Amino acid sequence: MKFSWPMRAPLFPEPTMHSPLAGLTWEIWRRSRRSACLALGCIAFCALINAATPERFYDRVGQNLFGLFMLVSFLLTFGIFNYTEVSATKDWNSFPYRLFVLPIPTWQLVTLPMLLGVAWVELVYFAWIRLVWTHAIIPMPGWPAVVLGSYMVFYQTVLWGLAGFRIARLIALGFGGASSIGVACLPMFSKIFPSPWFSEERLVPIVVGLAVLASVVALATVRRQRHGGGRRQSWFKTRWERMLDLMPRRTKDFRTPASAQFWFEWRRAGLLLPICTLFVLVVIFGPITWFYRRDPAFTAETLLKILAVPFVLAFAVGKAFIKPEFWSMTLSMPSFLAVRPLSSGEIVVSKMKVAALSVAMSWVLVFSFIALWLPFWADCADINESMSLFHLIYPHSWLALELLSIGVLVFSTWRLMVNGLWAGLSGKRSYYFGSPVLQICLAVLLLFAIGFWPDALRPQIHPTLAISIVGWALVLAVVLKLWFAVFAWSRITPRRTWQYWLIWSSCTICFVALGILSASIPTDTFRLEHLIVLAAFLVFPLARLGLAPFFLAKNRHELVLTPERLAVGKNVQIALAMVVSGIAILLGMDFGRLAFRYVDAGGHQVRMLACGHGSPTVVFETGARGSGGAPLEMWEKVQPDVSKFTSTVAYDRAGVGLSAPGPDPRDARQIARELHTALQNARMAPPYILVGHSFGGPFIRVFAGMYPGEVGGMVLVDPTQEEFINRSQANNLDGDIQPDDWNLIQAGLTEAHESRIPGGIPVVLITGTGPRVLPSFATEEQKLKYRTMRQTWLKYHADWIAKVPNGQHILAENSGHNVPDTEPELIINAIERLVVQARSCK
Amino acid sequence: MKLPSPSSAEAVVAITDLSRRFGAKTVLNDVSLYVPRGSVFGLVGENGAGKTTLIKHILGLLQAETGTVRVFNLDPVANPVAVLGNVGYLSEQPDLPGWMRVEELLRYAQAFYPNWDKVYAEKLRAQFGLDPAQRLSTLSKGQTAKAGLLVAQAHRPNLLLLDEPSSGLDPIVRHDILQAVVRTVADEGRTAFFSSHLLEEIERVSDQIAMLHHGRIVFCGSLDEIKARHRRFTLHFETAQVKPPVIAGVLSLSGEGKEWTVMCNGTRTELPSIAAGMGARIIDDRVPSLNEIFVAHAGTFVS
Repeated sequence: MKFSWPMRAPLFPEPTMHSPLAGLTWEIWRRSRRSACLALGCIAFCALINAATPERFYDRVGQNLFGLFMLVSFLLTFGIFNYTEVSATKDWNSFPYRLFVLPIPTWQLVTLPMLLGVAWVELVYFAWIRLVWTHAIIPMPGWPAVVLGSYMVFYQTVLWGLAGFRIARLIALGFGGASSIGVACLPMFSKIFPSPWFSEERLVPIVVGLAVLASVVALATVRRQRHGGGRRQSWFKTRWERMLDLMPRRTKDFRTPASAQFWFEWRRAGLLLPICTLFVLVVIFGPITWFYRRDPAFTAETLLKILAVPFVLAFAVGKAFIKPEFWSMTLSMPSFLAVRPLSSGEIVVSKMKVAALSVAMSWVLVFSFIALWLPFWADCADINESMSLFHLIYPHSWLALELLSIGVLVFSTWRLMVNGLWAGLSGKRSYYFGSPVLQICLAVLLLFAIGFWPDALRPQIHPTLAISIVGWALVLAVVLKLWFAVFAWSRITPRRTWQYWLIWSSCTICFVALGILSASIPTDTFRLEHLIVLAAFLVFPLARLGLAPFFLAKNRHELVLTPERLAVGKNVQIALAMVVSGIAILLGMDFGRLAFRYVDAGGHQVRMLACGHGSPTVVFETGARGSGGAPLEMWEKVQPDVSKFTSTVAYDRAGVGLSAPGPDPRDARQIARELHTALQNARMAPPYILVGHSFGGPFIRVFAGMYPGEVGGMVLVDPTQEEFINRSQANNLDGDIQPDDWNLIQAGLTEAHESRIPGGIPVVLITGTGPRVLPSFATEEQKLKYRTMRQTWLKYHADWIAKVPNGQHILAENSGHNVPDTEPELIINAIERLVVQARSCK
Repeated sequence: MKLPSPSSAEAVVAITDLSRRFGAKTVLNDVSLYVPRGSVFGLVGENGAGKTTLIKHILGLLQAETGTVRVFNLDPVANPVAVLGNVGYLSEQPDLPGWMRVEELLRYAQAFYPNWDKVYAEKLRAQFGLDPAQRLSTLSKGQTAKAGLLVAQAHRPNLLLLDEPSSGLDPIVRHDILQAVVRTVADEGRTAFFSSHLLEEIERVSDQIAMLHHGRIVFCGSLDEIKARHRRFTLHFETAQVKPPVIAGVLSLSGEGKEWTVMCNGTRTELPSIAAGMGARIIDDRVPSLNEIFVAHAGTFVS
């Protein structure tokens, strides 16, 4: 006996409709109810927040939040009025063909969705203005409304008009969007370029006129489509297809199913990213760079923007790419693919390979553009300077670093493109939309956390067990993500695990190499810690790719959820591996911190690293630049060896490295006082051998002047001399010193000049006179300038040390200014001699 | 229901106690089916009986909720590559990608099947009259079906699986498809399985026939067995019957007044006595056609 549910009474009785237009309107409403409610929901949510929170919230956070939701609601609006359907006969997305058999004239069919679209977008816009952006001052509220309405008309015209040309349609829509944003900003330019054409009175009729023209074009196009297409339309299509026929086509057979699947995926969507990149570069960046070709500052900024182009495009294209079928609206796997004797893992891998090739081609285009642009029509003054500096800092490894950076860029773009592959292939809309939304929310939360609680990342709050809550959470998330993905991947395609490990390990090696090579610049974390953390975070981007084959298999076979159990042994292995890698990461992060001490230096804490035993204590002072400076890691090639024969201490001055900021004014006497307090609180007994580099030289001279009885010797490593005072600000080598810093520099040098060396203590001054061989890309003028400067410094040093009794001048001929990095053994030997002298004196 | 057991001939497809529900609706209800090797198996059923669902289970496009599905003694969900590599599938609406050309389609499909016979494929293509440079979206419905059939056949699969292949096609194309089915089985050891509601075709080529009705197998066996099981009687009553006479054990009943046609399923020996008891005599007694058997079964309400 059949059993049927009793008919449920509908919630809202459907209206009886008496006119065809009412019927069409009802249809549009019914099919887009959800999106419309979501859009209105966004507005309501933001309006509530706006009403409930004070204006201060709006200034700090509210703007960005509202902006995000406004973007979402407008995207939903344009999605609602994407009034197209797939046409079965022609295999494209166009004006719904099934409406053409209704007894409605074409002009009504066309104008109804257009007018509804314009009305809806204006409604949404005014709701935003009136309800949410109440604290903002909007100069011309009507103007964006006009632009939005006309973009809606243009949008629908393009959708219906360019029905058969998918890629061209996308490009036209993107271009139209960008140019309408530009047009919307035109009235603001009227302040810079006063011109009657930028006034609202002239622009509004022009834009409205263009919109009307577009609607006429739309009407003509749809009418032609309804009546079977005119001869002219098919003329263009036949020409286009004839051109496509002439292009070379593949004639060889495929050797393996994997290569056939690669060809299939490539034909669907492979060329989209390179074409879009080419379009953006040639049409947008080409003219702009030509226009600004004499502006050096512009070059550097635009270079960064050009490097960002593939990322943005890859993210956008990737959203469609992760679906099983690129050009379809549904997420289900087409059965043509599902019945191929190809495992789900292979299908996923072929998609990833296509993405990789796409991304590689786009980057080739970007780099060719840069290679053409920079030499031929850009002003590279700023860039050349930065590049010379870079090559000076890394004389041996700059090429490797550049290649590695390129590798990192390309890899990150690829990862961005296949982002969410598992969600798209799973076939569920909730995953597909939810995954990127979740990621964006997490990123926003993280930024909020860092912005609101900067102290959370500073270890001073808990000096010994110094991991903040955010750090713990990140570490746990990384470990879980990695192993969850490996677990999922090995379940569905055990034979593919080696490829996953290959990607992971090669990227880890690249990152480790990057870390090692860049270690010559002092960073503010220990090198090892940094590398371990980097290596661990590297798996963060890779983790969920491993889920993709599992979810594709679910989509393909419409698997009912039956949880399988892995063999117990494998579970235990994975659990152990998780624990081990978690411990490794935690140790790495904590490793550095456990070695440091935080000592009070008169009201604030400074970070100190003390090693070795014995007397006298060697105290290291780093260089400075105004109020900033280098952290104690600067001495990492010197301090360990010195601590083998005596006790050493290196520290971060207040406000430098990981030390808390200290009170103003930060002149040399204040610094010397703080150092003295810190040494006493750390129970480091005098005598001290002071070692100072660069601006640390004046600091230790002031210290020695203030506490003469406690200093047993001084080593000045390429110190800054007081003749610097005489150079006027315009004449100095580094033109970007702030006026406040300049005052501090002058104060420090003056105080050093006034301090006296305690009688009889040995002083060693090391000057870097080299390097002997300057890098080849430096111009002759730069080389001459540099050598002259070095000669001048040598002269100042020689003059000064000559006046010091018991002074010794050592020349470091292979080093420039950074002697502790390039010739540390000179410093170590000098310190050793002084220590021996100090011990024998006692 | 007596079903051919797997021990007699090796079963290419063995489905045991398969059930499937979509939400509240039960589409397949305890279906058990064995397709012996080297035979042509025809599956009949009305629209919505569950034929496509059953075929999707064989292909691994659906996983069995209860019961088992084994194709070539393998689970099609666990071993998609091994199973699909030996199956040629033609669906009701061949969803071939419209952007591909015919030659590209052949080249693409060839990569997946190691047994692909290029000469044979070329011969079939010429026979079907398909232009290699033509895009699939510009082919007519019959040509698309032929292209799908070409891809399904050219690698000489061990199991040719056709899901309502002739729906909407003209007689010439239908003839080609049937020829393909017959030719498949003529080569030793290969099996064909097709579902249809064009009963004269099924009658013509099938060795075994099964009928699905509301998710249940109603009959299954060779054509002769089925025909032997059913009998069509025409009864002539003495008095005109105002409402349909109630006769126990018949499948269907039609007619009016004094002449009534009865379809029996196994009660043929008792019917004469029952009829005599109701005051009717049998004026016609013959073997029904498959069409009539189908309609008789489909009209009944399965409880």
